[in-house]
Amino acid sequence: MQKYIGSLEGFLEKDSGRDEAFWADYQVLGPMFSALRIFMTMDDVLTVIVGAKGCAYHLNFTIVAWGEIDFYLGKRPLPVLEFRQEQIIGGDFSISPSWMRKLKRLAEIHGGRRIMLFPTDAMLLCGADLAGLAQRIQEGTGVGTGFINVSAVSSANQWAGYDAALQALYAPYLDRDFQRTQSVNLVGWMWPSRHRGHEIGCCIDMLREVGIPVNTVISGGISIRDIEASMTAGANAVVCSSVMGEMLDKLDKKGITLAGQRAPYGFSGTREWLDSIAQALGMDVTAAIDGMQARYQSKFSENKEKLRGKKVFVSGGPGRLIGLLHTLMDYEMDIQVACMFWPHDWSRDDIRHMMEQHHLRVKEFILSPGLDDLERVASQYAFDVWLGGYQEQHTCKRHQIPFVPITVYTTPHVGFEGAVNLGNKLLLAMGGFSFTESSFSAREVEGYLCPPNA
Amino acid sequence: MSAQRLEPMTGCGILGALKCVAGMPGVLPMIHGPLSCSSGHRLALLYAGVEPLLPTTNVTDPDIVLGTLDRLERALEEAWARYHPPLLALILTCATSMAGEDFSRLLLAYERRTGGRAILVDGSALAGDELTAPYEVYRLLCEAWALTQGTGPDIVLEGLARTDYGSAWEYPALSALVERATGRTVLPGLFSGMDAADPRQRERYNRARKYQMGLLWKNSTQAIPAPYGIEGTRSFLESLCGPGGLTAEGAREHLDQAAAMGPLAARLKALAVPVAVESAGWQGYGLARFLSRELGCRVLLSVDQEIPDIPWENVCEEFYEDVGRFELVELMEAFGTRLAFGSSNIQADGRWGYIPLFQPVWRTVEAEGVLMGYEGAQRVAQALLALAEGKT
Repeated sequence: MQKYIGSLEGFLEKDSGRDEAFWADYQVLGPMFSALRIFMTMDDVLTVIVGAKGCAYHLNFTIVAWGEIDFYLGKRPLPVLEFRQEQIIGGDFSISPSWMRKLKRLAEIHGGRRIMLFPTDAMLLCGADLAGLAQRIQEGTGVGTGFINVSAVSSANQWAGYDAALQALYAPYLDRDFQRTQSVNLVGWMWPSRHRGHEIGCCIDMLREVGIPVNTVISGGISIRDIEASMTAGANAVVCSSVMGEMLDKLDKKGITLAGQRAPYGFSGTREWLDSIAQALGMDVTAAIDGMQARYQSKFSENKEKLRGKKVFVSGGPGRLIGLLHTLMDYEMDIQVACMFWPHDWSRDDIRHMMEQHHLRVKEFILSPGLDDLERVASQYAFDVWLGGYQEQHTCKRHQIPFVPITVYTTPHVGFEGAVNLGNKLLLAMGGFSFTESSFSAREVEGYLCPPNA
Repeated sequence: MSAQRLEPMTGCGILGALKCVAGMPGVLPMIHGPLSCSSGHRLALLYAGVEPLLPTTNVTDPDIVLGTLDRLERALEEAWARYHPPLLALILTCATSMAGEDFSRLLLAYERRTGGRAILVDGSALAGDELTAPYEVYRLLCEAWALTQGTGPDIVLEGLARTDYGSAWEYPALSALVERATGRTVLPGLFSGMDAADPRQRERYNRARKYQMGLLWKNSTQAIPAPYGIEGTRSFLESLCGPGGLTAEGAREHLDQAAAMGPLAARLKALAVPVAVESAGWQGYGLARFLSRELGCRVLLSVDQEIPDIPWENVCEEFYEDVGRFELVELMEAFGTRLAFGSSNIQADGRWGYIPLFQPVWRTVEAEGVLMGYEGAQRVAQALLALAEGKT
């Protein structure tokens, strides 16, 4: 884990992070989670954990608990091909015929067109023959079977998992020629929901309004065919940059221009995102963006009058943090501390962009924060409001700091409307409203929406 | 050969260990292994309703090749410097357990240097799983704090944990019931609120008589499941005070409750409602027995582990061991389930009624009320009747 505490300028220096052996992490997930999140939320892929059953218990929980109802994920099977550790060490990887029959039946019920195997640590560390296992499962079920060469120990954050999963998904199409169209894919591994009241639905609606055709949404709820269909788009736009991965760069070189690299947060970030996509597709949509912005301007200005100069704490992943910084800068709030849960390869470029183009200033920047860091800054600084991950609620409660969660919510935080929604939430929290319901569930408020015909 | 079921109900030893120590005063659990093993298991601390403080040494591939001792040593220093935990529970994962390094030596040095206590729990699949870990954790904690089995008048219901679903309302009600029925004082157990770092609490705990149940049920000398139903509750209470040992108040309460249940049970027996129960064995066997023998339900039972002392045929019609999630939902569908007790994994709106019983429960905000004891028996029977007669 790379840790950094200091100024933004210091963070931009080469090798500014240092390895730390102790991490009171409360937010970051591992590579198995991210790889599994991609495949398990696809409609025609059946994912199988191979090795220890414990990984399936917590990964299923983490993926399903927050998406099942709110974002239409529903229940998804997550079978385990369990080998006890003594079997792994002894090299006994025989598959019970009864297990194979059950998996075949599950693949039929679930409509699985592909099976993906996810090895646990012991399997990778002992060099188990995953290709051989995949081959036997393919023969036993009649369903094409592959595997991901990533397990928990592969990295200290999601990055390696997203990257490996995207490589596996796109590999069959990289050497084929596709006719490009003037359209954009929305890329970001979120939940299956495309509902207008959720973030992907909001992004689709924004693009529709400004006249940019959406080719494919590459997110939860897609099928393998959608990946192939997406290869005809002229650009890939990022909805959640945590999944950037090297694959999007590779696709950029193949002719699907990488655009909108920072998610559409705040007025400034939303404009940048839409402009960047339009530019990639050779379109001019400035007038349409102006029109959309104008509808939200008065409510935004009203919020800004109340939020300007308020001292704020903010945290987020490598994608969301940049977006939230856009929003807070737009409101001219006084950002005291900013925390990035984990970095990806573009994080320093993104921070540099915010400093150079948007004059971002913060008193303290923390990379890979722990609960101990939160406790310190909560004691050290006088925050008017705190915008952060859901488990930061405990620190805020101890220090009686108004809290707005940015990891457990349903109302869009993206787009012009999202900027207004976040402003509303900050003001509600400062007025005494509690967004925390329990350890798992947040209390949500209705979103602000101002459609073109309003 | 691989296991036969597709989807297990239970997790690994890390989860079992955390189910014990989550929210325990004075204990800092720490994972020596990859981030995934800590981040995934933060949920156990959320089960207990506490801040998910679960530090990790965030080991990655190169550490496994080069050795993890140096990393662990630095992490132990930081853990002490930042939190000064009276007891540090270091939990190994599959990766660090396989590395086979001498972690005990580092913990001994840590104890000497800091004056704090430390225990080492192997949470890997090599050492066992969610079900075996609590016994080891209990043994290690007793050793670390010199806890003993007493014979005094106070009693401890040991093995009940803050991480159990409903612990906030079930266990206070259960303690009150036991106190009424036995005339004895119930003290908090090691996993359910006792502060073992406090010498006075340790002293009182040591004098008390311990009864093993919940996470430690297999340590019990009596195969008495959790107190569900009228007769199940009486049987549980008598296991604490001996047959015929109920106080006058306890005996009267049983008679009153049995009389109140009579008409309800008669109506339910005529309906033979198909009910599914997914739970740890202590609760599962108890609830299934109540539903089948006292209320005449048809019962599908899936528990974490079979208890051979209680033949499953005596409490249910269909029985599964360590089968959960999607696979169990399918079995429940085939069974014709009308009402399900269990985790959110088997909640299926529109298919059957649902009452949360077993973690993980992520979709319920409002407490359902107690299900154990006499009061719970009436609640369960009323819910079943309302469902069977189409009133819900």
